Amino acid sequence: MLEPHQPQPPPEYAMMPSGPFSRLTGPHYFLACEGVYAMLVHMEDRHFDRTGAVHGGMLVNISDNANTGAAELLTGGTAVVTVSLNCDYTGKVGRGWLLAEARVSRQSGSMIFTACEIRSRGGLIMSSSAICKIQGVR
Amino acid sequence: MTGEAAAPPPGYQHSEPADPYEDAIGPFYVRVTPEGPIYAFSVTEKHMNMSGNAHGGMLGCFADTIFRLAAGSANDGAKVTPLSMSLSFMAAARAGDLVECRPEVIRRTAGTLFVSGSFNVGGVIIFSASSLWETLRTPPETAKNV
Repeated sequence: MLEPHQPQPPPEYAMMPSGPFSRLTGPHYFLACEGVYAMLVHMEDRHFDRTGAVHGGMLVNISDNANTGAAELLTGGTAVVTVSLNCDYTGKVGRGWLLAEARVSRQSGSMIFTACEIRSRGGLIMSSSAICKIQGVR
Repeated sequence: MTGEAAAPPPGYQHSEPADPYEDAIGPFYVRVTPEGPIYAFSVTEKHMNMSGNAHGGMLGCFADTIFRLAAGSANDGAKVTPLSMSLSFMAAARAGDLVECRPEVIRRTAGTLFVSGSFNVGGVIIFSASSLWETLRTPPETAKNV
């Protein structure tokens, strides 16, 4: 069990390869295991909206990263781009770790369908689904 | 404000950051028109993904932020909380692009607002979004620090 203010994730998690925006909003840590792309992000004051909860846009951002991470597990690292992302906000959350778990639902040609859930201490915060397109494949 | 203090594009003014997250990922701009406010942000290096395009998460953050403003305004300034957000991405945004959107409140029913918008760069739509918001008359559920 992760402690709320534990500064580092469990050792089996690695730093997610990140561009500038993910570095700005992260760090994001990931673990790929048996087709599940698990991602941990520690929520702090800088992620908050005016109500003192994690900003909805940050949850959308985590969902995008986790869904594409799951799709790239299937492609073996070949980059994908998000074509569609649907997010349901099911709870509010403050400081502490968020765990996102994403997996592939189906592949059809160059399109990969994924689903993700973001939880905080077991409570569902956001569920999402995405369609990702494999880059360079028609 | 810790966001970049870049001068707003012509016709725009700074949209005041409402919270720490928007302060970090902004600045956002607003331009008042007779048909309603148009919001914008300039894509900069900090918004990039590893492919050198604006991160989809950043575009989603921008949509969430300005749709909240539209929903809040339609709710007479009372609080709103998001229920769902659907995003369709059509093209990439690159450094230097100005991403603009006029959010539209499509409909209001008892307890729910429907907000959508098309986001364009130079008049070309790069993504669209639609969302549902719960209208609150009492303070929203207090976030749990876990």
